[in-house]
Amino acid sequence: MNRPVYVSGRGAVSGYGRGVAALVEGVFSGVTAVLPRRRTAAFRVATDVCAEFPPGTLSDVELPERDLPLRASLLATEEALEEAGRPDTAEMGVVLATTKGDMSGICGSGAGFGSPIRLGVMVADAFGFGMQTTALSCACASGVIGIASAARRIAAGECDRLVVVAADAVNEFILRGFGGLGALDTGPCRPFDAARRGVSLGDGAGAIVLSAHERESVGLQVRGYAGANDACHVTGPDYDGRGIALAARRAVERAGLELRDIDLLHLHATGTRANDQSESVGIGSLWGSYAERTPPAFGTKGQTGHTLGAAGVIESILAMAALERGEVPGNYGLERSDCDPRLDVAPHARTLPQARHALKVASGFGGVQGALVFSA
Amino acid sequence: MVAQVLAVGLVDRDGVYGTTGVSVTWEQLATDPPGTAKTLKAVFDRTDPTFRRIDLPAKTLVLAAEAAGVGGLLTDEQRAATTICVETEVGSITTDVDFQESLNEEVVQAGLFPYSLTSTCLGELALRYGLRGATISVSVLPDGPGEGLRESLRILAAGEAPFVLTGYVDALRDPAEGREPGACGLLALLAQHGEGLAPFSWPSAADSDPFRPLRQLCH
Repeated sequence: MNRPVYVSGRGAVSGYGRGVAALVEGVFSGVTAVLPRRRTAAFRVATDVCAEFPPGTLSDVELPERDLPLRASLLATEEALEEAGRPDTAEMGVVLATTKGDMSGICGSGAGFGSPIRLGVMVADAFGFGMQTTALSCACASGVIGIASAARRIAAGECDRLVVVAADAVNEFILRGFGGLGALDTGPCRPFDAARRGVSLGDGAGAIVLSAHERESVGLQVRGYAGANDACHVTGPDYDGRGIALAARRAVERAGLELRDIDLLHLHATGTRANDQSESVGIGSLWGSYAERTPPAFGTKGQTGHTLGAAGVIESILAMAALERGEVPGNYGLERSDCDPRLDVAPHARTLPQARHALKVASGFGGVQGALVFSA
Repeated sequence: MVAQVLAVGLVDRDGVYGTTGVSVTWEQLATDPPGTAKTLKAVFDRTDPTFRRIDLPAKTLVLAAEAAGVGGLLTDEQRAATTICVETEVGSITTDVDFQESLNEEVVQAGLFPYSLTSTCLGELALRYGLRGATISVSVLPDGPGEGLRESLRILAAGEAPFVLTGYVDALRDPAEGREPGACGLLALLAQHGEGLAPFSWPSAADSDPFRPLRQLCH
């Protein structure tokens, strides 16, 4: 069995606050949520900024302050189920994607020891999801690989509906980890810009309900999915970008499409010198076999911050928004690219009224790569 | 879905075992699991200059991969299409604790940070054996093993990859999450088609030890 997989609901909590509307309007209007640090201000690290959840965003979820990933997950899931028309959760399952889940027992006095499955079970229990809960941790590609995993199960006929929930929240462990690697920009990150100096981090949670039933679709389909590995270095990218290109090519092929069918790209685009260079060479080379440039491409971490395990879901929501709006937003922070010129990134927004197919790519430590194709 | 098992490697509290025929105890090796670079040399006559700096789960998986003979089983083209899908209960908790403690030091141990992600130890396998398929780390509860196996079989059944390197890894230096210190891991190379050592079919969610048939192939 290889059934089509449809998107029937979306939810998000981000540096823009609650809701997909706030996220999409913020990104497409060219506003950034990467702002001076508040909640994380006490942590000694070489950046002034972070896209934190705005104060009060999660205040009516009755859980301790330390449980940010869970609180945000619950809100994102609630919104996604609402858009999906309140399906019977007893016949649904959760695929939870995160880098570290709840770290409260490592970083403080909480009970969380970085177990993704425990976060997944808490989300499942809160909504009464009756089918098996699964959890994945695939570094910063977790969200993309989580969507692929859920789509695989629906396509195979194992179940009719699943919700993919992805969440991470910035804490001292994460901030100082990236800081120790020298990977943070002191200000808001500038993916693909010649002056880029590193990534900006962000809090985030996203949820996407997937369904086997076209009648439940919001007009979007998960058409292709694939993964790959650089097999080159566990923290640094392959400078030829072969891993990300391999994942992208496989996803397009699995979608039954050709590269020329892809209308827009949502990139990983962290703002580190190495990632953006590698990504531009890999994706540029892939398209370079038949065209001078890629389709219009964009990254959004200059606005949402890098939301780590949540990024794949939040950015998939933005890729879908680009299809729905027929518009690719400008790349925030980009003035002049020094990356492979075959990658079509621009500082300004562009309209694409006929856009039907979007490719989303993601990368992570361990050489992990993931790619998804969404179709309208 | 019935897959074919091509090879299995096992690291447990007693020793290292595999379908390559390797069978050696920690007592014989005079070291604690998962051993050192000298263990690799002694058991597999292999030199691995970076073994010392990788984390406990990665060391455990490298030993299991060597015991399975992963390096000699596949062509370059087959490796490029091989997915890695491994499950874990405790993840990278030893590294997490070490990195968190280093935050109190003058200089953060930045080299530890990437290993706080469970997919990084799988990246060490991809790097060593040139495996360029998808890389998936599955988190499981102590009373719910097997989802990594099921995901592997889904990938094979869907034709997404012709081979999957699947298994589990849990390695701890100190007691945590109700587990004793130690290192255990299993890697099995499954194929979509062809002849193998044994068939392997979909494990039931009620099966409390879905890896048993794979472990039995090692002894």
